Amino acid sequence: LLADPESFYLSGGGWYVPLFIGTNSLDLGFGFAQSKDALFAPVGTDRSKAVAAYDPPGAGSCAPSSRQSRWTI
Amino acid sequence: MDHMMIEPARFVASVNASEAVPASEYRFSYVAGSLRSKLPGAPHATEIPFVFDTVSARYGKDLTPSDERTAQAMLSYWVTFAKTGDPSIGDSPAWPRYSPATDILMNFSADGLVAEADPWKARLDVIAVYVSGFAPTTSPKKPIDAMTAARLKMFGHVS
Repeated sequence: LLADPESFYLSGGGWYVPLFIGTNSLDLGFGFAQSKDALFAPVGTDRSKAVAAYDPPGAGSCAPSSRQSRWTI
Repeated sequence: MDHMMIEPARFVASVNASEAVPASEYRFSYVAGSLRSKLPGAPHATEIPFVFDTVSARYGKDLTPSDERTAQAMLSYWVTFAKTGDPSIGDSPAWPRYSPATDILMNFSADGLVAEADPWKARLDVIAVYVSGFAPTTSPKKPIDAMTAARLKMFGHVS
């Protein structure tokens, strides 16, 4: 690379080629929140939207999976 | 997960599509038949033996016909994209180009291949707002040069 990637792309130096991209339904995530308050704190005023999306009433409690010791979104 | 991987992928697809670059997005939610009772979703990198259709080596005697079909379909889509810039192939379900307006991706699910609006849109939209606070605010662009225009034309892109 002749420049740092961020500057390069911001200056329009990237190639225009078709993009193929995706992720997995249980993809990587590192969580450090130990409570729901901590989990949703980063979204600030969108907390109610986050709760509705991730922890809707009647859908059971949002809780860490057995594979994780901390919560993440 | 959404913050670190899934929304960023959707964001990249969205930015490219917004700049008239053909983009195709997928969600790999398929879990090998032998692992479904143990895994609530498809962990990172579990798509690899399906993309390369090496599932027989990966799952051995536990391989199911559904695993094989999924692997064969994925290999075909990936190879077709590498050849043409568009993953859609023959009689297989069409894979619409990604657009922020439609938010359609190809979901490789336990129920088969489904081209659908992102089922996680609500939660990803929340994450998108949050992470946008870290995004660069300016994006100066230069015009598409002749070589790039030719490449896009080769891939069937019409601006």
